[in-house]
Amino acid sequence: MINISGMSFSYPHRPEVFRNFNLTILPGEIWSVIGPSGSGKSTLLLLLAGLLQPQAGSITVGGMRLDRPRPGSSLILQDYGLLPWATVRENVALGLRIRRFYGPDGRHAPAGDRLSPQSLGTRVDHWLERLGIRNIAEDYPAQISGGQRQRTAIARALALEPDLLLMDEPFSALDAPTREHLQHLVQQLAIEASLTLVLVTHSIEEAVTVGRRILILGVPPNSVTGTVSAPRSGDVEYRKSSAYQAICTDLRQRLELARAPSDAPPGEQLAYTSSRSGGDGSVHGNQHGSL
Amino acid sequence: MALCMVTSMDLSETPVPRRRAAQLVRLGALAVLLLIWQVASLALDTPVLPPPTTVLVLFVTELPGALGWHFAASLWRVAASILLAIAVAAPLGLALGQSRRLSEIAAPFISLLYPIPKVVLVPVVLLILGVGELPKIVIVAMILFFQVLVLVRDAAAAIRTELLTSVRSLGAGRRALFRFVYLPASLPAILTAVRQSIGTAVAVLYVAELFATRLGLGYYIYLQGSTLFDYPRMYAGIVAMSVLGFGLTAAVDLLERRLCRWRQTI
Repeated sequence: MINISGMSFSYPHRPEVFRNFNLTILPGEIWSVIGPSGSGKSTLLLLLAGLLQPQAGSITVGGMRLDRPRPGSSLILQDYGLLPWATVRENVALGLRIRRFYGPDGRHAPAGDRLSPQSLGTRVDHWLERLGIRNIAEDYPAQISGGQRQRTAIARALALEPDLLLMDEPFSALDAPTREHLQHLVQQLAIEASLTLVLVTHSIEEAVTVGRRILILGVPPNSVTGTVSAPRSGDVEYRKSSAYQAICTDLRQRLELARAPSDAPPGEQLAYTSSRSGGDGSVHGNQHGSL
Repeated sequence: MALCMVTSMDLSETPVPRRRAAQLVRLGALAVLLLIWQVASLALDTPVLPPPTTVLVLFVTELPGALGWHFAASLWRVAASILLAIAVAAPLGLALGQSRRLSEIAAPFISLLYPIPKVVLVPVVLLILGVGELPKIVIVAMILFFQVLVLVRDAAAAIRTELLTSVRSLGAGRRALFRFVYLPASLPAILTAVRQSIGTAVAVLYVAELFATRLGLGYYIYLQGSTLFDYPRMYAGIVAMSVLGFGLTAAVDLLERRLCRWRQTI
């Protein structure tokens, strides 16, 4: 599904984030990406979304070399990116309306995907229903809770029927029960639609709960990728098991190693310290204080 | 006029029952003002201040005749000015709001030109553009221009990068971003700018209509008051000009309630 080979990337006048970076993600796989702040997690996601371009190497998604956002990929950001002037229903319909705005040109929308207004409405209704937000469809984002906003963003992404879903810390602003519920829901949806899912997180337990494969990024430039497997993700009982605890511990140790190269600039160290305390907080919040 | 604007501004953001109550309060205030006018007119007993009863009767009977034509001429000029100002300033404001560099270049020019009272430019604009409709429309549009420019610029600049990234990831290119993000985001700014400027715009229209025209409320008021010494008709013209300003403000409020329903939820 995703093939990154020999990729290098840096923001203008900044040190390299990725240097000769390689990664292969197979169709239908569910991946978590974890690493300290400034390690390039979000950058990697924007690169996979085609919103940033690498300076060297290549990214192919679904067999196509990426040079702009790809119609089959959907991205969900931490702050949900909902239009404040549009209702929940209008927000869910936004991607489809953008596609209709351009027509099936193969660039902005998949070729041959012509949507009539009725089928657009039906599709929007389906996803409102599936995400349990039909009762708030006429509300504006300012009127609903964080969890409902996240559901709206997910419905909007899935209404485009993507084969790749990219999520950037989607649950970090939510309270623990809502977060666990949505983590489970997203997994279910990904499995149902055989989506490839890449989820960026700073929470160890979220990485292990959601991802079957976990990519660890360290202090940039990232070139060698560390990955961990979490074969039974998604299972509620799994969170209580010793296997789960073992993976969390392993991941924590690898993260400690990943953040500690001697040449890390002081800014990066500082940034990570603050994010780490935040990360610990969320772990405690999820009754995994023993970690 | 200023009082009306403040009240109606509050109105657009309140729910219906409170809006009804506020409307009643406003009607009450109107009655009090008319009463004060009536008392003052009786007390002073001078032709310069006729009672509101005489003026309002005259206003109603004159409106289907000459006064109506003058009213229509003024309304057309203000409406054309508003549209012209939006057509020029909104795209410019959007461009400035999207580019920090452009905005920095434009900022000193805006801060120099913005505070100039545009009304002093009336003779200049008349000299350059001649005596037709155009100079009057242009001068009033200049009042609205900077207000729209600055508010739309700020609205466009306030759009969060995350929102743009999200919408771009849904497949939006430049055109769709404009249609689905920049346009709806700048609409409230345009309406606010227009509402804030209507009072000044109508005032400047009055001045502009004193020159080189025989049509318009400014001309009508001046003619009745200073040439014909028909004070009740002069006041009927003043009432018409107030109705013009008030009606435009109410129209903007209505548009805002229709088009920016989401703002009432914040």
